[in-house]
Amino acid sequence: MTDIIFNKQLLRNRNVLGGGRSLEEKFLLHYSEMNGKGPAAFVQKSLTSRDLPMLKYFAMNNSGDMTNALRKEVWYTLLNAQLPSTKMNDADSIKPKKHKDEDQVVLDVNRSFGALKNLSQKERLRALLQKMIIKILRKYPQLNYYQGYHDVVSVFVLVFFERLNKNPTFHSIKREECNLLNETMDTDNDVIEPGIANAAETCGDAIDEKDTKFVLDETKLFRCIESFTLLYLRDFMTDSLDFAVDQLKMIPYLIKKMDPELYQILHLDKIEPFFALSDILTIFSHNQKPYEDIGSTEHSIIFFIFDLIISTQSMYIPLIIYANLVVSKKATLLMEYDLNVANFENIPDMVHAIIQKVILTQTIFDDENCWRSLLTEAKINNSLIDLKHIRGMLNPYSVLLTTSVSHHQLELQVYDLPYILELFDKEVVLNEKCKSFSANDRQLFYQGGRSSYNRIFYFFEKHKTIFLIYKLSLFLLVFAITVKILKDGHLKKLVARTYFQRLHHYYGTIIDSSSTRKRLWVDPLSRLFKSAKYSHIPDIPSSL
Amino acid sequence: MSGTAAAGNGKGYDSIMKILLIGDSGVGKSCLLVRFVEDKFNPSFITTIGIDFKIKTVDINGKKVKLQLWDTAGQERFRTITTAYYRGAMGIILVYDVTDERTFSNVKQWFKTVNEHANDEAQLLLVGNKSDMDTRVVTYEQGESLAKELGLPFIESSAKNDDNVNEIFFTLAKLIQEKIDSNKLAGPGNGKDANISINAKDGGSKSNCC
Repeated sequence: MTDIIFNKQLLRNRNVLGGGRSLEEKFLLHYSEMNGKGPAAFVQKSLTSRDLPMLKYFAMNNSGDMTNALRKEVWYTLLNAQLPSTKMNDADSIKPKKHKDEDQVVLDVNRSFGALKNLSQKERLRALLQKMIIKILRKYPQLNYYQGYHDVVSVFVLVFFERLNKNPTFHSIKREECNLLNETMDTDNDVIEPGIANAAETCGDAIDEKDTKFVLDETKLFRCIESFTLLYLRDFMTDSLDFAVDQLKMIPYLIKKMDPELYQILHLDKIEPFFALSDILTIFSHNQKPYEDIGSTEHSIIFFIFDLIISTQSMYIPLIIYANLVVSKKATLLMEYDLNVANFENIPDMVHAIIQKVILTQTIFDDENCWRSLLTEAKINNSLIDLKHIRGMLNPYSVLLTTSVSHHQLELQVYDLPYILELFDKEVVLNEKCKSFSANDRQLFYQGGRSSYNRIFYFFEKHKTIFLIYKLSLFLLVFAITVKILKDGHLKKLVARTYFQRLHHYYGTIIDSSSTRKRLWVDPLSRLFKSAKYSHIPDIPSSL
Repeated sequence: MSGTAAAGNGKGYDSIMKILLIGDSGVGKSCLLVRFVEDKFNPSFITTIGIDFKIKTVDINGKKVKLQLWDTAGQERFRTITTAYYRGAMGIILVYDVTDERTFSNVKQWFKTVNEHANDEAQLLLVGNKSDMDTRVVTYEQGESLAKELGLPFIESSAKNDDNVNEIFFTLAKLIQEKIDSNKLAGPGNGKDANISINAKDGGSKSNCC
């Protein structure tokens, strides 16, 4: 199974780039045809003609041209195409049962959008955020919520909120809450599903056209979050953060490739890269809030990062960005290292502290040029990803080896929900199996068969049936002996005139003979076999 | 990291203390820390994901002490990651929320985690936060008796009203300092703490950083 996934991906990756240039030309041609009409007209045209490669190309390269009104259409179209909705993920599968993590969700939602000044906006955003997260968790109860997931979802909420913001007759979201479980998941967004209209009526108020628009947008928002969660964030949502830690390990791996010296100096071979945890779990959206004031948010670097992830279908993007960021700050990091080397109790503490100090500063996030080059690097740095090697660093069902592999092909990769859920189930099982392992042991386990220790371990895990056969044959032996005993009457009869008696006889008679004493130790059996019954077997040379 | 400013004046410091804040999600660990380090309060302060690091230099009995403060995520699934930072911690502040019974009953669980992962010499402190709230369900006496049971010093605080926040950090720092001093009396280099403070002095001259 693993091999199939992996080989498929390798094949896909080999198909890269072939037509890249021509798409670029095609893109430029299209773009100039739309001359003067701007990116909105271009996106609109690509949307109506369902030209997904063109949209993908646009999102990869033209983040700066996108307003959030355009962005949400592009994100929706791309994400919806990547994980097309099926009957299975329609409304009937929404579980009304409360998810175990909902209390934690409420705690985190109430601490979201803290920097927003507009109180009513803040309240609306929080209500929408909470609703979306809970809807996802109830629909997929096997997913576990992690602190930081709310930051990722709030990026989507912000992109979709723009229109709500401009709509003064927008109904309070709280009123919408009662619709939560009745609402039909509309996937073809140009049609108003009867379910939605009914649900709205149950709430007692007739909804006007603008509100209908809002409901439809909310459906799109949910589809985006759903698709993004399942295709890109699964690894973080098993019962532990083990697979997230595995992903973090890619950062030292990349830094080593880019700058082996820095890798050595920061002791990245010895320490766990926990310093990057919040940035990877939240795709930078925790430390860099995409809003100060709604309206001025559209050029936030966070949106650009999401544009790139969604269009390249790659969760390597945040990892590559992080590694590049560290390498780009090498001089400052080395200086801090020298200043702090004596100030910390241990190396991991120091490396964490200096990286946090140097990397996570607002000035870096505000440095748009720095980020533009980081994003460009992330786009072209895919060559650093050596899937063969990485395969031994990650669990075989990881998003990084299955549904969000780094690639540049023009066609969108499309996945179906049962396949994704199967992958997640396997991750859950593997997570249980590896729970007592350290990160390094886990890697050994994934490498299965590469190291001798692991070969045995992996063999045991993989070939349980062989051991069953062994057990069965042992059982048969015992069974056969038992039958023999029962047949002959008692155990003594079974062994009486056989091997043991001969052995006893042999030792009893030859022990005095000095000429044979030597041979006694060399090969007692050969002499034994020489006795009448076994005389046809040639003697073994004594030189042995 | 506004604390860096204090250390950046070139005067250096006499010792360094690594202090950790732990406790359930939402009890106010980050709020206490931000109140102490930056003297700010925001009721909707952001969630901590993984581990955050802050620093503040304080004066303890005439000595400049640099406090390295590690703030941790409260959610259970971060436990394996946060416990990695218990190593070498000289002080651990165990926080619960006086308006949330559950966070109080989880204190014993946190105490157990500390015993499993922290140095034996680490100085602990129990803090009941949000003491300003009318919705209190855990009384001062309950907190005090739990602290007695576990053998910890106890403080109730409010990050919102800035009640007892400095006391938390100063009390802990003083207790740690006493331990360091008594370890020194017992013989230099005996305990890990003593080693650290010696190290710290060596590094004092080039301390205008973190």
